Amino acid sequence: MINQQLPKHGQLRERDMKTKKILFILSILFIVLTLNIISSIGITPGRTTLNFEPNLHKEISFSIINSEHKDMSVVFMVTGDLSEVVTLGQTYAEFSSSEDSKSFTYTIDLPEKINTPGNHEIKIVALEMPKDIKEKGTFVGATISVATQLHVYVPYPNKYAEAEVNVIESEGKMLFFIPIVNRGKIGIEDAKAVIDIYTALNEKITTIETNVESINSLERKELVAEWDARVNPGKYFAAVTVIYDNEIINLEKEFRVGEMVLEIQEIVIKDFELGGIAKFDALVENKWSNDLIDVYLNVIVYNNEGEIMADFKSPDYDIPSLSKLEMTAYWDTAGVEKGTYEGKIILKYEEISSERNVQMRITENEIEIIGLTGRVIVQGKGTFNVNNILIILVVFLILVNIVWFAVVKKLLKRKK
Amino acid sequence: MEMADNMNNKLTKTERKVIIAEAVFVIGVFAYLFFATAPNQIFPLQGMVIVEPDFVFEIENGESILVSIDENFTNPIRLEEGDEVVLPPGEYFWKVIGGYRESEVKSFIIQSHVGLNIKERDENYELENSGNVDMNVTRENEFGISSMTINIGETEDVEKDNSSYEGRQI
Repeated sequence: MINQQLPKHGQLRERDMKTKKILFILSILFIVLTLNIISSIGITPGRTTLNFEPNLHKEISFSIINSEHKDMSVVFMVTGDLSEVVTLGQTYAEFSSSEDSKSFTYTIDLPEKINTPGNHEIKIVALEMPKDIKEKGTFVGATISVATQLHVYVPYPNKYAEAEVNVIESEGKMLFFIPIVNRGKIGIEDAKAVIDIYTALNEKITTIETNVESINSLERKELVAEWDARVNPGKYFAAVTVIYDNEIINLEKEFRVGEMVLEIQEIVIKDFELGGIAKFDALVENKWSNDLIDVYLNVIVYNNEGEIMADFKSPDYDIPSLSKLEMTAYWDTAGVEKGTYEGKIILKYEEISSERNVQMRITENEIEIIGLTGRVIVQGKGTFNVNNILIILVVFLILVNIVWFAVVKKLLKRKK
Repeated sequence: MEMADNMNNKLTKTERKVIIAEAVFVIGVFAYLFFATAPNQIFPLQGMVIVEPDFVFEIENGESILVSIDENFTNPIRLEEGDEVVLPPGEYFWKVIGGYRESEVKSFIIQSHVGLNIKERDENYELENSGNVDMNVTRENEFGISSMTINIGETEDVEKDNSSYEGRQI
């Protein structure tokens, strides 16, 4: 029985040849794939904040994110002006491709006293290395690392506030959220912010004010202002003056009004043949009130394993304000098989990029681009869901009852 | 009272039973519909910590959601289907609005996530901020140290060499 399953010598040679061919193709494929190596690492939280307490002993956790799901090693280091107070739980970790993330801890032992008030920053740096770095010992090439920061705040003897600005658009209104923290030992009686809004050409549009808050020592409050932004979509600038008990903090924030500055109206791929060069003609509308310079289209296609199969760009284009322009990008589809692939269509302009997830259905002579991902999903309601069936049943019951009592019973009575 | 009595007299025993069964059924249906058609949150779950740069609010029986930094929704952000918003790290409260009804209030936390990708392109490397906060990247090589800012979702082209890049939250 076992002998029957063994291959003959001829078959073995043929199989050897096939195996060699497969290995050769795989090695070529490997070389091609490694031309576009992706190194990636993530860490969360990006920052942990503590108020100084004498002799504080605390364990703090953080996680490393293996976003590209690959085998890798991570080396941990501590830097910063108070690095001696930190003890790492471990200095080296290994990740396999199946691991999304792993949690780690470090402990801090703060001294009795820190003389300098203000923020003392310690960084726990996670350096990504190849999986076999322990065996090889060395690595040549660009390296990337990410840091989780520990901010230890020693209170100032007086009033001292720190603030930042976040701008969020909601229903055509711009909401200015200004979190403010009192880092001093003395409470702040009145804190508010005055916001001057300017156009991209530095013309002042309006001035708005936030609510007024009192803030105890080491407390955090939120100052909020609302601006009814009846202006053209575009870039605007906020000069924020936070005023607290005769002290001032000046902040600046650039923000955008309007949803999408650039919008892809349609993408047409004409005269496509699988294996040839696909010409992506994208009609792009500039809804911005300013001309946009050096805009380009970037299309990324992923294979079924989620790896980048193609990454191609258009040349740079200048799009006049409030106008449409056709942008072209080319993709060599040699070696691409028929099927449906996930992809991204990215429009990049200045420092801003807008990204849309799409599906590309590729056939012998057509590429169909399907779908744009929204950020709020409302679950669809089918016509024949349970609720509708129940409503129909109730209405039917009522009708049957009406017919029974108003018609059938009368008829029966008359017959009697 | 008299009319009801007359009505009862007119109804047979079977009819009365059927009507009671129907009434129970209709009341049950209305009770079920009241709860089943209530605006509801699906994702993010209550108390969830989110570190991904992109996430989706999933809701049912509603047209929009309200997101706020406080439980009283003093300055809410209203989002409808297809809307996008960048929320800085922090705790948020949210509810679904469907017609005249609202869902319960749930909360989630956006935790800062520093993510750095490096891609090898034809003539250079591309650094990508894959986290959910703006990032400061320090580049170190034999020529010295320099730094750059990469905002959420953005990329920066750099020379192809053996530099070390360190990303941290701004």
